[in-house]
Amino acid sequence: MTAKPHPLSACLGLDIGRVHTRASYFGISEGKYRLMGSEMAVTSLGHGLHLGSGLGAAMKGLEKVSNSKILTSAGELIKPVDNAGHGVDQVALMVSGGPRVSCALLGLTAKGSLSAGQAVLDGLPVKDVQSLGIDALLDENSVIEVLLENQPQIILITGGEDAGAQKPLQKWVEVVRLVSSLLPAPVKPQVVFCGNPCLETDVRRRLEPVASLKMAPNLRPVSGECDFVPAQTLLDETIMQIWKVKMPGLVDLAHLAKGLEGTKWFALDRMVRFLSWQKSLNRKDAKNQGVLAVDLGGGSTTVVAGLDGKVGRMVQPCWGDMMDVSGELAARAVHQWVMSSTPVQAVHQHLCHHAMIPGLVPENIHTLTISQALACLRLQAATARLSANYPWVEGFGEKGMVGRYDPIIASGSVLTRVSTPGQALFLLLNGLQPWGVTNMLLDRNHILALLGLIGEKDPLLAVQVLESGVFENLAPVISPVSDALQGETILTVRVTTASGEDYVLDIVQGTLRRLLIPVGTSVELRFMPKLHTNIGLGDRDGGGRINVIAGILGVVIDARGRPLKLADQDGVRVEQLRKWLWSLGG
Amino acid sequence: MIADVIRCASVMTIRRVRQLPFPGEVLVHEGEHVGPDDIIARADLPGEVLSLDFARGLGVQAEEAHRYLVRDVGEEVVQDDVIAESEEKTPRLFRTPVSGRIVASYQGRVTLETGTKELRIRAGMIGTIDAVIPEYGAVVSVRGSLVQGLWGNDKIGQGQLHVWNKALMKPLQPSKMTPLAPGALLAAGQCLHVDVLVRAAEKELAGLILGSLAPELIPAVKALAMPVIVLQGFGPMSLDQDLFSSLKIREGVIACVNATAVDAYAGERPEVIIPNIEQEKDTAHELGFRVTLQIGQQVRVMSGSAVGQTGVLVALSTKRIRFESGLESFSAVIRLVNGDTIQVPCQNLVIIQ
Repeated sequence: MTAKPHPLSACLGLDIGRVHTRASYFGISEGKYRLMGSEMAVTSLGHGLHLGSGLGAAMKGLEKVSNSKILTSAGELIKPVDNAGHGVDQVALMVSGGPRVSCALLGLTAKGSLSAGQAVLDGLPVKDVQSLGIDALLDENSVIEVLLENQPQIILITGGEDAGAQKPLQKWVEVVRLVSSLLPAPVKPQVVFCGNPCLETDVRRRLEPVASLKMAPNLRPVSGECDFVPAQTLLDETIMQIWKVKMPGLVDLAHLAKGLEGTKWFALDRMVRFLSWQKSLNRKDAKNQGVLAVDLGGGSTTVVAGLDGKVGRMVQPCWGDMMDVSGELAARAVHQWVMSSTPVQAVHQHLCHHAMIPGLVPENIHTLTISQALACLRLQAATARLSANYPWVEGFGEKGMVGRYDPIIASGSVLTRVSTPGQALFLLLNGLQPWGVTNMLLDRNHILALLGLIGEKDPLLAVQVLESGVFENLAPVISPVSDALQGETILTVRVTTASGEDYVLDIVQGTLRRLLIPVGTSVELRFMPKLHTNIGLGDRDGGGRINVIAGILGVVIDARGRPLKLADQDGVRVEQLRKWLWSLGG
Repeated sequence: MIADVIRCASVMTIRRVRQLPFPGEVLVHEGEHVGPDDIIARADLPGEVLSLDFARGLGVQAEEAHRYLVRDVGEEVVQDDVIAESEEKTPRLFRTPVSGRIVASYQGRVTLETGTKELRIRAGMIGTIDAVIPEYGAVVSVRGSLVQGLWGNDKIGQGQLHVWNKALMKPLQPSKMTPLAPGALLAAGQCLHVDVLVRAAEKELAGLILGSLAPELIPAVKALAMPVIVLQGFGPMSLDQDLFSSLKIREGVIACVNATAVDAYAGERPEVIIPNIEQEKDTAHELGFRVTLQIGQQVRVMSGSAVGQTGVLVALSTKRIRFESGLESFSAVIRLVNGDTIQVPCQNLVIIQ
């Protein structure tokens, strides 16, 4: 018996975010899986509401845009696909709109296990992380009292290399045992142990009778080597469990998905790992080139970097700091990137309202520029932290994104709802400040993470949809970096297009240029760098030749320098930013 | 399209569930009258612990120490009770230095729970106990006015309502608080200077009900001991005359402020409750945390040039329309209080009802 070429006739992907709920319909067209349509509605999140009502609105919209029938006249989902071809065979449920979960991290040393544990937690929607090391155990009573007082929903215990330290970890286990046994059932923490595996039997014996315990492989099996994936996967599952209690309707939706469920970060992580692994297999010349996914959602900023199958992720809340002491500082930082004459106070005011009403839509130029400036800072903050957490994630620092990531796949309403592709690209360039050559893709339908989830059930669907050109190619971007003075020529580029155009350009330090080449055109670029210019194809001063496919914006050369230097004076800075944006078509 | 609901109701029956996250003791009974600071339910949580190394005290190996324990986990002990003893070459006793309950014993150490912390759930409002939720809490209800806000500093209080609405468009000045007596609950338009907060604390006011607050004052407001609730938003904005007029007519009565943080998952908003039990009929009813936008609703604009202004929703688009920013969104047409008509994204509205 041969396997069916397409195990699923149709699949419905559900993405429940903090602000929007999206429904995406995948079906078969001309013998291959395709995205048939995607639609969104406001997430029906809030006391007394059922997540299904927002979802229902999204699915009704989806029926219109995809010209398909997935609901009965009573609004019920048709599952499986009926004889008339209506309905879906599978539902994939992805969630990111739940409340952040409080955590305690118990480890040994700040530079060792605590730093590894923090990196794990930084990739999850957590809050109020109490990080306690071996020194805290000097006053064990206080530690116990702190944990009893704060009642973390999750306790992560880590530390000790494989066959390494045991005693301090045993002390932590006893502390957790005591805290778990003392707290009443509704506030007992979920415990995840990912430390020295030699203790596994002991840990189970001591903790299983009093706590909900999950075991994951050691985060740092040997010095300098980390493996966060199993622990993050377990924690993702734990967070989904917590959300099922907190979010009315989630259990019902999970029932529809029959196990094909997960947090958005889990799914995105998987997809980026796959893409980076595939890239390293297919292109030997792409060694040390990663894949980057960024998502600027209504509730959080996510950056996931993948290199040779390794993945690092970072999740940060959007607005958490605005209502705190750091709010004013954040407003000043955002103001630096606002592309309109808006006073700092107005920026702060808007950001506070946005913190209270996360779904605000920028309706005029002022609010749009504030929201885009904030998005830029969100990217800068998330990538800087990602780089600090994962040593192999090269150079997301003060000088921009030194490591090569190609492609960069971006999603999130801030990017996908802008009126021009130039705005989306401008925001990404300012936020990430890449070096060298990279292709910027826009995931307008927010399906990259969904494909990671669906791929578990039907890998062919994920692969065929990816191959269908479902992402918008904004542009290949070349970012030559040089120490030359503004106005000096740092690079000469010879451009040869498949349609026969052939010309030479001098690239001047401090400029942002867009080469108007029709989308989809194959282009050969020959680089002749000057003045120690680095174009990311080898050593400084090293030239090279590459072939790229022009995007919606053609080909872009970002020679503004790294890091980007903004003028101090407000008016001059606004003009500088506007001029750059106009270089990309506005 | 659904939108957040911020209540501004003149007379309605307000019901609030106040309950513990785990079983405890309910301290009220059905029909009982309560005030905002009254405790509805309480529970003891283990709060203080003391770990004692009795193995070291006895001079025995930690691994074998359990053999010398003479008290069990769960037992109450009082100061100087013997909890372990060794009768080997040199008999030794290990006494507890404090009273408590033995909660754990492992590897030559015992842990005593020496004190508890009390978790208290307060009423947060004046009202009557409608129903008791055994072991967890109660439903408190009252007929009165309900004015909810956008943000609160997570404090609770009550006081005699004093409304300063003579010049709503002018920022509140510290000098305006001079005639107020301690315990007054001041409702005023805009708070844009930190001096106002300092003066309010000096005067020992019961709380502040503000139309708007300068965003840079948020940390200072969080540090205050009194409740502060922001009704309309942050920064300078035109204030809602109707809102303050509705407070003005209740001036002089005792009002409660529960300036809780907004919690969409629990359905909580900061709110002012002004009991009005003389009224026999409700003029409003419970709506829910977020509801569907409908024509005729009173709404407030939360972004753009009309930020903070209220009006009536007169039309809803069936298709997304493009705004000045270039972004497309479902839109609503609002007739503002000043008579102007504007079109805004539905997502930028909150329902005021």
